[in-house]
Order: sequence, then structure tokens, then C-alpha cells
Amino acid sequence: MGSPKGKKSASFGFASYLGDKLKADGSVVETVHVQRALGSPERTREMSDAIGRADLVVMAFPLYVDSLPAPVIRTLELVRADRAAGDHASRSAATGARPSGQRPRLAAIVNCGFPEARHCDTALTQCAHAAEDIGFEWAGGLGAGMGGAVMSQPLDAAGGLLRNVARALDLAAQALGCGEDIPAEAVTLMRQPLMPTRLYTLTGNAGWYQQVKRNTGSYRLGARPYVAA
Amino acid sequence: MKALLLDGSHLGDPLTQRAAKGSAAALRARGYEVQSLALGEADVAACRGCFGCWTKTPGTCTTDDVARDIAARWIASDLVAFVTPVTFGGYSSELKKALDRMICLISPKFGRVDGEVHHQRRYDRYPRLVAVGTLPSPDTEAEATFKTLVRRNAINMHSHGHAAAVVSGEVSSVEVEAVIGRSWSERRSMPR
Repeated sequence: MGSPKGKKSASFGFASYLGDKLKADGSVVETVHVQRALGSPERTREMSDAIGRADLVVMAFPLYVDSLPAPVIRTLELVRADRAAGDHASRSAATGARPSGQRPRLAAIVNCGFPEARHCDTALTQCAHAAEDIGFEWAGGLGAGMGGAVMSQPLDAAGGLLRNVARALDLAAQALGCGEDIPAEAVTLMRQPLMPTRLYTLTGNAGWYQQVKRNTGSYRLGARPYVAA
Repeated sequence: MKALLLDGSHLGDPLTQRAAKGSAAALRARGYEVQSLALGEADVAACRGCFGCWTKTPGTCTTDDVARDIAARWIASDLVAFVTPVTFGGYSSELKKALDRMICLISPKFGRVDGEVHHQRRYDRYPRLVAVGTLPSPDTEAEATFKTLVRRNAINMHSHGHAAAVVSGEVSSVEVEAVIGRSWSERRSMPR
């Protein structure tokens, strides 16, 4: 879970929905909040151990400046270093987590605040590179736009606005639970806009004005504290 | 002319550290006054995703650390240079930590660039963006992803020119200077 906003995030909503589906099919699911884990050496080691014993790792995170948030990158850097040192393989063998030679799998769910899901594409490509670099099989990824409209809405009783998202995650869970890659149908469904772009940008911009007014008493979004020389 | 060089190398990465030194030298040879910052020693906090830089203290990150200074230097510069090990086709976690904190430099309001929605500019002018990535050995796919990422960042950070190159092994100043020269290409503007 790569969002620093924890349970209030769209990333958590997607991850917990997918996790519940995997549990319903018999998988044991552990959830790790990356930014919290990186806050102490002990929690970082616990996260590393959890990754080491997993057959499938699903990274759910918001798009930050066209890419993975820094703590998610840091986590992957640590996994790469651990595997290069042979740490994961030895821990996996010690716990009997998986047959020797079988590679664990990596999947990703990325969401962004822009209306177009394609903003997530570069980040998903990076996740595929990461899978190769850390010795995992890439099981595919989902990219979603309009994250501001999703936030932490529950998907369990999803209809209307989020029905495609729920269906995409259903299909992804079904495939991942069987050891298969995320199917193309799920990818396409996840990319579907939740509403017309114009409506999303208008309500989004109005939302920013409402927030700044509530927080500062002014509608001034455009302050320039760092004046260009 | 002012250049801000953000060195995203981790400790014990001599290749990227050499690239940072070479990049700074190339920029100085072109007449830039260069401020270099080794991000691995800067203790930048990770972005909290609170959007306080947009809605509580517009234009300023609510976390008071060196990232505020980086943002001030960024917008005061004519050119920002990233030097980083190419990490999963993108930036190191050290560089990305700093970049994640730079959204205070743009507006939360949506606008369009070439038909695609992005955040509008906050300031009238933004620096060019150049990026030098390092790899221990050539990797064409990682290089392509890295260049795509830099191009997307240039759009979102309203850079009026960008260039990216990936170098492996010993960095030559000729390669670094070519990257900087290409930064004078491409112009993009956001609607007001």
C-alpha cells in the first residue's frame, strides 16, 4: 500500500477490495503500508520478510509526478538489494514459502487524479521493469484516472460510478488467484472514465477552491511565495 | 544563468556521482552558475500527500525542511538538471523524494496541454529540464522509459524545454553537453 493517506485513499480502497476477493478464494493476504514500514528498521525488516514469503505482491499506489511515489521506489530498491544478497531466497527457503526456482509475482494498481488513465502508463511500465530487476514475474497492472472521484468510497456495493472499477478488480482477483496475469478486459474496464472529463475537471477545480476557502478563508489558490528571479 | 543540479545518487554509486560532477562542469562551461545538491545527504522527507501545498499554504509545502529551499531554487533557476541512476526505468528514490515535494510549484487547477489534462502553472516561467541517467550497462528499454518519464515531467512541471540521456560506464563531457544542448528544443505552454 503505497499511499501515505492510508485508509482514506483510493489506493487503499482498491487494494482492500482486491485483497478481500483473494481471501474469499482462499489466499492468505497481508497488507503493508509502505511509508509507515520505512519509518523504522524493524518495520522495514518486517515488510521485507512479508515480501520474501509472498507468492504474489500487489502494489497499490497513487501516481506521483508521473511515477511511483518515492517510498514505493525505496521499497523496491531494498527488495532488489535483498535479493542480490540472497536474503529473500534464504528466507523463502527457510519458511517453505515456495518451491525452489519458482519466481514470485508482482502486480500493480495505480490511480491518478487526472481524468485520463493513460497518465498511469509510464508508472506501470516502470513496475514491469521493477519486476524484472527484482527477479519477480510481472503479472500485469491496472491504471485508473479520476482518483479524486473515487477517494475511499467502498467498492463492495458499487454501482453506477464505480461499477467498472469493481468489475475490473473482480476479474483481476480471479486471474491473480489462479496464478494468471491480469486480463486485458480488466485493464480496459479500469481505464474507463467514471464521468465526462469536463464534469470531472469542473467539479475538481471547484473542489480546490472550496478546500482553500475552508482552510485559509480566501479563495486564493495562486499564491507565489517563490518569486522567480 | 542559474542551474540547479539535483544529484539523486545513493551513497557508494561512483558512476552517478561522476555523472553529477561531469554535468556540473558541462553546465559551467556553458556559462551557468551551478548549485548542486546531493540529495542522499539532504534528508528530504517523503511527501505526505496532504495537498496542503495547494489548499492550506498555497505554493509552500506544509513540511518545513530542505525541500522548501529546493522549491525556491527550482523556480529561481533557468535550468534544472536531474542526475540519477536509472531505477526501474525512472529515478532513484532520493531524487523522487525531492521531485514529489515540488508540486507546490504548480497549481491544483486543471487545464489542457495538447488535448490532455494537466495542472496549470503557478508561476510565469519555469526552468528547462535536463536529465542524465546512469546505467552500469546499456538497457534500451529502461532508457526509453526514462526518456518518456522526463518528457512527461517536463509537461507537468511546465518546462519550456527538456532533454534526457542515459549514459553507461564512464561519462564523457561530450555526451553530457549534447544533453544540455537538446534542452533548447520543444516548447509547451499551459492555458491560463
